[in-house]
Amino acid sequence: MERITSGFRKNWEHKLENLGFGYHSLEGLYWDESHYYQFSSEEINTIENATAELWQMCLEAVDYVIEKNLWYRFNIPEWFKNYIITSWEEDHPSIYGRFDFGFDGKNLKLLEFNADTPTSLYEASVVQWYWLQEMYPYKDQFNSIHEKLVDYWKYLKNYMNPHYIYFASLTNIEDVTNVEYLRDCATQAGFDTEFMAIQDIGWAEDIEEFISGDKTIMEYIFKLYPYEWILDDGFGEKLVKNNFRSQWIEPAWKLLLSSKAILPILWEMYPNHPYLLESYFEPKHLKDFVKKPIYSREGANVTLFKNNIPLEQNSGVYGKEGYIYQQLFDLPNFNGNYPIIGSWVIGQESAGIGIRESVNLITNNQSRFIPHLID
Amino acid sequence: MKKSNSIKLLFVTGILASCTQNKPEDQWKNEKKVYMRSDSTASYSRSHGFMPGYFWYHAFRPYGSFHNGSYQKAGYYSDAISSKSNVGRSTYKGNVVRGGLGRSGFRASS
Repeated sequence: MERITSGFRKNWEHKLENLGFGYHSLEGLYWDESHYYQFSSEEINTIENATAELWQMCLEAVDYVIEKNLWYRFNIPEWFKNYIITSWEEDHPSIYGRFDFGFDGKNLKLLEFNADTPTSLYEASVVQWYWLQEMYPYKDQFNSIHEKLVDYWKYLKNYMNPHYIYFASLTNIEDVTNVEYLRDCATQAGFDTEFMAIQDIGWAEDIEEFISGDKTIMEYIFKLYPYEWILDDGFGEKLVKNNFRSQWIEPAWKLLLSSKAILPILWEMYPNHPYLLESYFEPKHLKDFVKKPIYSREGANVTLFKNNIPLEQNSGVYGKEGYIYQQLFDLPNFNGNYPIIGSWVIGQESAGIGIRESVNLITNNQSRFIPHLID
Repeated sequence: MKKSNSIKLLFVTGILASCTQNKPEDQWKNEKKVYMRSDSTASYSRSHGFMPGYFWYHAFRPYGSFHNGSYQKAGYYSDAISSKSNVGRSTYKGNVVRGGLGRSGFRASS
């Protein structure tokens, strides 16, 4: 794994915007092609295999949580449990997820799993692919995200009726771009699709149905909006009342995997597994560790301890549901830049990676996306 | 090879026109209205590539807002989708409450 200097393309902003990628520089530089990461085939195989194995372990972990009645670890209300269990037992489909790995070329460790609302999908799938085509067309890249997305929507089409899906998100450009990209793929797979703002999803109390902007009952809703926020908004009760006449994608069982509480549970199930970091619901004997809220986004409220002394901390509004404590992984240091590998599961398969790099040890919303290739 | 052989995109490349800038209100008022059908039985839809950026900008940018904790749906910028054009799907005639979702954050990214 190497970090290699590369030049910005002439008119690079224009090229990105022509792809519909409008947040390359929203809060400072986000898309950064001044460098790229180069991997060997063996390193990519390691990432690919780890992704596949961890995905299977996560599926086992959902069963484990349900079987052992570990709901209290996730701060999930009693009345929402059966909704999650049904979504799991009926195998409601999951489209995607993104594992975040610490990887130094040899050691690979799971930092967390963005299972419910992962973003940076468009830049990983499309933007870096076009960068490679222009800059290094004869090189390979670990990235079949796009074709796997289209293929998986095609596969699901056999099991869905009607073939009409609403895609909903908040209306900021990053969320809209990610959702519109997924909608593009679903459309290519043969679905009729429609975007709507998440705020415009309606509820008809007398018939207990979710209603679209044109007053149509919504059978399938893809949402880029986390389940913990759906619950906070008081919409969880409506999901339960609706009893799956509207099917939401990602499904409710992904809430378990997107919570940091899954990390100590995985460690309990697979102690000393080579892809896992020691994790607990209390600090125990850990001295160098990261304290993470059960639910948080973009590194908020994460504190990093070395020798039990806080070294770095991100502010935020999370933490009321409790914390987990995870052994610290020494991210590789490339001249003060710390990369994290985002490894995508599309459908049930390992599909590709995107790399975010930060000058801080805790990756946050100020991190930059760096393209990669395989040597 | 581990990379996609080709990438085809239908409309996502057109979204920038829709949500990067706020158009001044007075420009909206003077624009010619373009009515489009929004349902699956209509003769055209954005899913099939009809003026993607333009369509998105006009039809799908909501301008509802929160007041005292409740959401006031004011519709979408422009009247690009006329309610009269919606035919063919089971339209619900009763009372619908909107704005219950979307209060817990600005960006869902993770």
